[in-house]
Amino acid sequence: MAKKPFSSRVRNAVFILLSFLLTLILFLLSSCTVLEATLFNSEFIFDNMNSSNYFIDKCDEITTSLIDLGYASGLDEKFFDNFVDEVMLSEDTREYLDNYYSGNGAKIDTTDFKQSFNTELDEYIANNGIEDVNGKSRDKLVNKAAQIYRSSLEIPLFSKLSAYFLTAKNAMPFILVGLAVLAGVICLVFFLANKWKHRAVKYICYATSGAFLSLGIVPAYLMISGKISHINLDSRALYNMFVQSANSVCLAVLFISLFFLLVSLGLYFLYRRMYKKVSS
Amino acid sequence: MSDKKRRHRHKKSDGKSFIILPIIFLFGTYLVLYLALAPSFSTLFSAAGMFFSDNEKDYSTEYKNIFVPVSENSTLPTVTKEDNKSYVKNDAVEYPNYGNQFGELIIEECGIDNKLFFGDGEVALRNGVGIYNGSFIPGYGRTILVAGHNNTYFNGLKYAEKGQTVVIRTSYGNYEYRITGTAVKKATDRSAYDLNADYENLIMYTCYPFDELGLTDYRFFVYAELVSGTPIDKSIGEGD
Repeated sequence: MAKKPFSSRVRNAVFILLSFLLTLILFLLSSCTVLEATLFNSEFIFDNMNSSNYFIDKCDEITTSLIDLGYASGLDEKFFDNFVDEVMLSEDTREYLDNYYSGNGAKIDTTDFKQSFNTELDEYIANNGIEDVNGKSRDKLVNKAAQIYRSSLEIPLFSKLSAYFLTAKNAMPFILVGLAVLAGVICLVFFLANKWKHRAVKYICYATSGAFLSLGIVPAYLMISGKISHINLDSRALYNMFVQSANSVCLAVLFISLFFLLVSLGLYFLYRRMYKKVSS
Repeated sequence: MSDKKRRHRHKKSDGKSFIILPIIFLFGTYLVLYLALAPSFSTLFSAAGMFFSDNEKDYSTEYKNIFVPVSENSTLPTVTKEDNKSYVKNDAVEYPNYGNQFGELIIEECGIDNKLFFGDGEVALRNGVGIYNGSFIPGYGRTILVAGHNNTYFNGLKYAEKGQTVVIRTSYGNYEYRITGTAVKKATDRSAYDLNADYENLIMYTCYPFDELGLTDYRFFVYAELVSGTPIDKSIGEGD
């Protein structure tokens, strides 16, 4: 068989390298798109909270913690019946997420909570005929209850990562545009630098197949191994929300991966058809 | 070589590259990612190790009860040492894990008859009284620090007086203590207890004043000394 000329082999190697670069860009572009649509989108978090019964579970958890506080401070269990409700939690969580995503910090305002706690406490003291209440002990109780409420609403690591999170979130649209332009340029190079267009299709097909494998392998492993459900979180509500969100993210990545598989198959058949046309 | 043969061979090698190259690209992509993240890779992995465990977390609020009362006529496996004292054999003791109920704490004169837990977490104090897990279990010859809420299980401590008897029943033996005194101290006062004491002593504490609404800065301590009970043989594997 006659060997290919050296220049042709170098050309082929360069195009394969460009294909790899395109794989990398498609991988990053897809990952960033998923991040933008999920983690960087407060609606996604809020929707997952709703569908994972986050507010119902959270309500139970806060009530249990407050009842424990009651045991330590002389308050009856009944005091906390319907004290925290899902609507209140949902509104405060919405405000917390909105503040965080708009760059105003991970703040939770407990003024309303403290106010209603104080009102209920006054009523409780009056109804039970408690006469001697130490002001300092009472303040400590109210502050502790507010602290329990605040820490229950906080999402772990949110406040610690806020600086990185906001930087990444603000830069994300530019990164996405940059990566999309780069991917377009590489495709254009393939078509302009190849006289036989079926070769351009072939190199793009390599890249999309690579993107399919690179994107699909991690979520497939996570979902098959069930690793996601082994996360250690103290709160059951948070655990359910996390597992649901992580599964949604994995599914989104898998869908994009499958999209690349379909594109690859399409490009492969196109290549075959074009090649036949050229060689006949 | 004929044109047909060459085209066939070309088609075959081209077909292979549609499988091999994407696999190489897969490894290449993760190699690039690894190289890019190499400086923080170990940190990321150890963080992931902290967040993920081998099993799913158990969120049940039920506690494990390992307490089986020692019946009056039963004999525990003991060993006699050089000092002619009997010790409960180490392997006869089921050491409690955090949150396990492993005994009972009784002070008849105070109307206290509570479940005893290892650890003073929320579940323990919701259901009884708990030994601070930085202290020791009965029979170990060191300080036992027991906490309870003043409005529930340790409300009766307000009747505690010098000379009263405290009984702790466990699966490996029953222990009797005598109250030697009580004290009210600041919650932050570390001198209220000595966790490094090399003799067995029982300290029970709760919030003070009793029956007060709110969180207080003071704690009511009850101190007791060991009267009877077989100590645990702490020499693991000695002589084996």
